[in-house]
Amino acid sequence: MSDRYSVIIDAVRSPMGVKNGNMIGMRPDDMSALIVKALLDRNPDLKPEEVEDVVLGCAFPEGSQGMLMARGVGLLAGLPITTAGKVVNRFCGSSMDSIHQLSQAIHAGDLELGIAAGVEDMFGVPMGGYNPDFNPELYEQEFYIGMGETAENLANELEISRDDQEDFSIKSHEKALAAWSAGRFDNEVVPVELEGMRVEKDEGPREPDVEKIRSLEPAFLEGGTITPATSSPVSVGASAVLVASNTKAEELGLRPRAKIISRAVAGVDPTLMGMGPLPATEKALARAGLTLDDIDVIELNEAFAAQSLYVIRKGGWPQEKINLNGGAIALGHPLGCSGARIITTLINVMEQQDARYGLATMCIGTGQGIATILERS
Amino acid sequence: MGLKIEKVAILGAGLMGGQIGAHLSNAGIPSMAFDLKQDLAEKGLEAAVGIKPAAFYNPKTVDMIEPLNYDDHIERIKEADWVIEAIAERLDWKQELFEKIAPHLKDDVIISSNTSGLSWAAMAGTLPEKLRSRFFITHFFNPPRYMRLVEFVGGPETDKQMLQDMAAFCDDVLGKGAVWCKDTPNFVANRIGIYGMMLTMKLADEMQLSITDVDKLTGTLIGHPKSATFRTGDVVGLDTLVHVANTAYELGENDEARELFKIPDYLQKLVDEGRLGQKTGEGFYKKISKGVIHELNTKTLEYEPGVKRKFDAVRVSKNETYLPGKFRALVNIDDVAGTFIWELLAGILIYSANRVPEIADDIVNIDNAMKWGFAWEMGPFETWDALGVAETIERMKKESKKAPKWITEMLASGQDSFYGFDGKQKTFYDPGSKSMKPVPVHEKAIDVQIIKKTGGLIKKDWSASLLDIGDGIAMVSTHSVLQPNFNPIDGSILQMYTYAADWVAENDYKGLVIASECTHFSAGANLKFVLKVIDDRDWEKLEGVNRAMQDTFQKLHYAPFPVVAAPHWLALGGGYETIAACDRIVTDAELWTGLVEVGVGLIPSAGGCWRMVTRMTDRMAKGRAGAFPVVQKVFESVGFAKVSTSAKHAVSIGYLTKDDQIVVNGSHRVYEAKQEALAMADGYEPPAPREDIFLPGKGGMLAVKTMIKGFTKAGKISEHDALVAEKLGYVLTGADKGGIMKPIAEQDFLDLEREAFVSLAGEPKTRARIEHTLKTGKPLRN
Repeated sequence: MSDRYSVIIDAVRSPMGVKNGNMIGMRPDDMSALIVKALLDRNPDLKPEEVEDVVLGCAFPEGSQGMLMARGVGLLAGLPITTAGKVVNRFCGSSMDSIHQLSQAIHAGDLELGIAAGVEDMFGVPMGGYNPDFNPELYEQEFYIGMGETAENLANELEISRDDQEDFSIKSHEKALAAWSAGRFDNEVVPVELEGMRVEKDEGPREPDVEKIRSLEPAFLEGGTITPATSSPVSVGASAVLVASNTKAEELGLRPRAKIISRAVAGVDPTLMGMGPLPATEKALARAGLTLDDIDVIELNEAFAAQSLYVIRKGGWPQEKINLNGGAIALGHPLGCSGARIITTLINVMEQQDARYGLATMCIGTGQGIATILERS
Repeated sequence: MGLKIEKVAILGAGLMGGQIGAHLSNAGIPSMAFDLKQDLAEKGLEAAVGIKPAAFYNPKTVDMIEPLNYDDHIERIKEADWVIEAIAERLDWKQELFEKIAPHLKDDVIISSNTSGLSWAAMAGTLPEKLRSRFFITHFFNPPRYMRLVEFVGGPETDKQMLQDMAAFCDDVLGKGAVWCKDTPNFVANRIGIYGMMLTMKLADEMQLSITDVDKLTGTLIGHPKSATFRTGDVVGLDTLVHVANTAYELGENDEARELFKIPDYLQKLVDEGRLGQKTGEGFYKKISKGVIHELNTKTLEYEPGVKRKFDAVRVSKNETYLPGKFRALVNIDDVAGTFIWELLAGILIYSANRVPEIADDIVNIDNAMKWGFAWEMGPFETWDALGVAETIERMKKESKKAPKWITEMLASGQDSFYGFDGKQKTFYDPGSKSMKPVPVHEKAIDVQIIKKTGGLIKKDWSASLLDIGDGIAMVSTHSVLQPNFNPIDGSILQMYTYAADWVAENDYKGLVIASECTHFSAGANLKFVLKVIDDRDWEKLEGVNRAMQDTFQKLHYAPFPVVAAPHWLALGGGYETIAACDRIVTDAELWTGLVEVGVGLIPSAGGCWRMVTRMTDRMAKGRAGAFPVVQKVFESVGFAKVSTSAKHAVSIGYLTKDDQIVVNGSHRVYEAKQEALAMADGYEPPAPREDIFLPGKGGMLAVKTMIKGFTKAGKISEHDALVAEKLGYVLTGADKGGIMKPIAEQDFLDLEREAFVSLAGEPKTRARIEHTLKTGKPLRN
């Protein structure tokens, strides 16, 4: 590896909002701008003019999320007109890819400093978009298969029981609640105040109602194992990560919180999309010259409990290192936001655990995986 | 009308107070609902929102009712033009309340009490003198949104003009019918109603008829509500029933039927034991488990499964389509049921006749009270006319039943019926003057029967007539010969629409109104006929009939003159397709409409899908762009057979547009529709064919299919549901004929509708659904 590499200076996110919550109705662009602005406010040594590009991940960039939202977000956040902007779409992996793209540009020598952000308002813009228009051949290939069904396929293959999935989900809530009460999200989450509403905490995590969880009907397959309680809830949220070259960081006197040491994406069977983290992680580890044993903490996006358990069991992953502050089952998974969200969480967990290496990885609808390995500087 | 009611105060936010407030909000009138404590007022309104059947056209208008309490807000009562007292039936409490509010009332306030049992005289006695001329009784019937009756009781001091003005207000603005009552116990409707109930119980006891038997014989069979006698008792509450009967007994010193109002032992025991009906879980019936209801054995007071007996009278009466024919058939059958019904009717008729002029000045008010307050299809005197007055009196004489003298006088004078027609208007016999008098009619209440009798009939067919309703407007009035309640669309109706469209154009008339004279506008296509064609496997015929329906509605849609539909109550499936094809809908506020075809395994195919797509395109034009959201929105209503529970609700679903008009008093709908047609007629241009409808096409159809597949796999819908939904998706997305680059031609879309309809009709599971629905009236999920 050359002397030039990319680092993460700082990262923040909004609370994650869920159904019947107070974040519904907040515009995704306003929310993103608020988070970008919070990131800038936290780093007063950084002059806004230094931000060359805003790379915003979003899975359904239309309607309120359309019109090249990244550029609008930059302007709303008070960035100068000289800051460029682009929207990245890799579905659930969108904003992790935003980080990758900035990191790649830094390596290529195209850019010195930028903001990778992510946002999704799953209430405002429907999953699937407003005007789905499917290709007949892809339709025949099950390319458009529902996400819940792909998770049922995984549960079926490894015979992951409903009880195990529910226990996993209950833990996700318990860990998130514990993290909140211990203040482990304090450096990660900034309150949002829009449309006369102020939200300070994630709306999803709650004391699990075990009886209710056990009694829910399967949501995707008659006689299946997956219920709303073991799926990540429909949600809204925004996240933002400040990425710079090591040299620029040094020049500006900005202290990096982590170094990006490898990035990878991989494709898998669309009907088994949830296994995506396995090949993506394998590639990322190989590129970093590490093994899974070297990784101290992991953020594995919890699209579904079954999908997470599949990755853990199939890959022999150490459950005690995964999602220490809870995951998307409790918090929610606003598609375009989640990549930068789990990177943000990972950095905080690494600091809390005094870890050296951290892995963030997620599955992606249409059958992909994406992974990032960080090292604390 | 020298009357302005812009704000109302309701005293007591209980069951009736809350619902009266709800109905005022339905009519767009804000109110203040007072109760003793603020939380009582608030809880009362919450309860009104939750009540079934719904009290509000749209629950959001609860915002028009302000919950208040006397302690903090009493001075605000001065804002009220009309104060309605609806607290508990205690004279001392009412007196106390009137004293409390009196100093805060505006000078020309109108005060009424919603009492059902206290007299005007007793209450007025508690009022400060200057208020007595402004005070009267408005007794609304529960549920006030649905029951048309408001009993009006004034006293000698009550301002007569104010009473007339208030009756007009209730009629025009609230859609309620005033019945003028004397200040006598239980007024009119409850007086006769309780007599009917108590007589029914007595006869049932004497003739060994079970609770179930009685309800079978005293429900829709004789034009009374389905809940008949005992089920109604359970709903109303046995305590209330006993209270009304006790009032009738205690205050009925001169009532010839007084002994009848003594509470039977079993009923008294039920009340003493707190078995009060629906509100306590058991009364005349007890729900054992889901779908299992047992009846009371009045001897043992235990509950047991009801045995459904078969009666000759019931069987024979089924041959009669209309109620008068049924009545005549029933009373002339010599079995226990026939005898029971005769005894019951004879009792009610004589009792009612004896009450003129004691409880009301005339027979019209009594008939109206029973029709509007108890939902009888015919009032006592109308029933008597149907049975034949002379022959009934003859039979009564033979059986030593004593009818009042004024009836024999009437017959002797040569007048052989209570109602008549004088060549211009409907008349009734007035015993006081011993003459026929005109039945009062509201200027906006267009009576189809009168038009027919006064030379307005242009053409008559089995199930529809073409009428001249004046000022250059014609009207198709439908009256199914097959099912006079649900008024299904048959060949006769379709032919009349076509004939009317030609006739209006040829005769240079200004416009056409479409309405039904049945209970409902139309429950849709004639499913019996569809089933027969399916069984004949005559797909060509099915396709042909479908095409004829489409062509007929298209003809109405593109007619060179305005066509205005005036629907009421049910307008389902083809019924909706009829009104949606018209230029404008002027509807009764009570409109239960929707495209419900998927329930019987079909899809709307007489232009219903097309009308919804065009309506939704217009509605969403200013919002999200794109073809798919329109389809999705239509799918959400048609794919789930969504039915509105009011005309306002139909607007919010998208069945009606903002241009359509809602008439709170349904009996004015034809008049208002006619006015609308006249207003549109000047410079009328028929609608241009739509060239702006872009549909998602095949790619969108696959997205719909994916969604449906997900539902099927999750077990949320059946395989057949999925097939029907896919066909609907096929039509709504335009399939191969759709696509976002070019608009779909209207005829192409209609061809898709037909293709999908005929192909679904060929499915055995669709056939099974149709058959099941015809048999049970309920949908089959297969």
